[in-house]
Amino acid sequence: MPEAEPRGAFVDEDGAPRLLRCVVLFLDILGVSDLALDRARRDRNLVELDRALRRSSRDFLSEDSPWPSALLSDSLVVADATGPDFDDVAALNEMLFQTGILQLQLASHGFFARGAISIGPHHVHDGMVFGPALVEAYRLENRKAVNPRVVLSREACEILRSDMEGVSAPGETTQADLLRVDQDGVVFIDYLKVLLDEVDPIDDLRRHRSLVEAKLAETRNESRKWGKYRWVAEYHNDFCERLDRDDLRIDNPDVSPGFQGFSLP
Amino acid sequence: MPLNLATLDSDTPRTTDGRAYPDHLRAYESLDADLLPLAALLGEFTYDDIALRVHSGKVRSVLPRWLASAEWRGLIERRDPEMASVRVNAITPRGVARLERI
Repeated sequence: MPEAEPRGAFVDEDGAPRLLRCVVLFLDILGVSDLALDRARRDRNLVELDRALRRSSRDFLSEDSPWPSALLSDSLVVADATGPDFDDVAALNEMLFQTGILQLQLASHGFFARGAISIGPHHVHDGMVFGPALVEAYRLENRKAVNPRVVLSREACEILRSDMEGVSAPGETTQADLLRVDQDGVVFIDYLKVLLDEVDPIDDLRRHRSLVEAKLAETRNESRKWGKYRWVAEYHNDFCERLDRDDLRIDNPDVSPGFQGFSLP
Repeated sequence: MPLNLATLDSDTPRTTDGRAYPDHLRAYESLDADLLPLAALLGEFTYDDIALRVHSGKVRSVLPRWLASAEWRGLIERRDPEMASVRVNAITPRGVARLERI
């Protein structure tokens, strides 16, 4: 049976590296530097991080993965190449799913992440990562994501909105399902939505609540960090509200969600 | 929560605590014809194993949803070798029977 060769596609017949149009995720896993510097727990922290990235729903660092990736210190870069049978919308939607799964996988181990998704020329092969799409995703993560959310580039949003214009039920598209609009108008991945596919999502949601509550308590004297986990708590509560499960909300007076669905303008 | 085996032949499978098969997964049942043969061929498979062999962009982009739908309907099941390992799936006898009817 023929198999896709996602990594091989990044070199030409002569073995020279080349750029391909890709959807690129740049993801900054929060707190990894602190974990590495924690003398008492660094060995255990490494095991936990490895488990979070490789031993859950998917191995995000697998050499054979259809989505070539690279882990650079505390950041993960994942690419999804477009092609004749894989247009921009398919690649973007696939990346929305993969990112949602990854964020859930990380969160279930107590890691929260901030990132961005872009689309454009990119190269990843043999440890080398290069290209304007990576630079754009990095800059967006750095300047626009702010909170532990994965945001989309303007071009990615335009492609997905344009696709919605051509369908009879835009609200039922993958992008409408997996994206959410924040109070500042920024589009981000609604990663808890992926839980709803599972046979048993409620235990996972309870665990998510406990982990966020623990992070809020742990960072209560560090206002910048605390603010990031407050955002996660607001997002968690927004999700519980949509699920009509008020019993799973995070009870904190400073937490008040105000998000909206992803739709046509 | 495990699936209630008595509900698998109904239109709406349920877990033993009564949670129903999510409606949004029904749309992906039409992919059984594309993906169950691959699952049968692979035996036990990870997400990447099957994704690598799906050549249609549209099908691959919604693979997580089909896997969830197939698990809910008892066509595939989890076979993780241990707690701390990547998720491994395998086709079930019910999945094989479904494949024979396609």
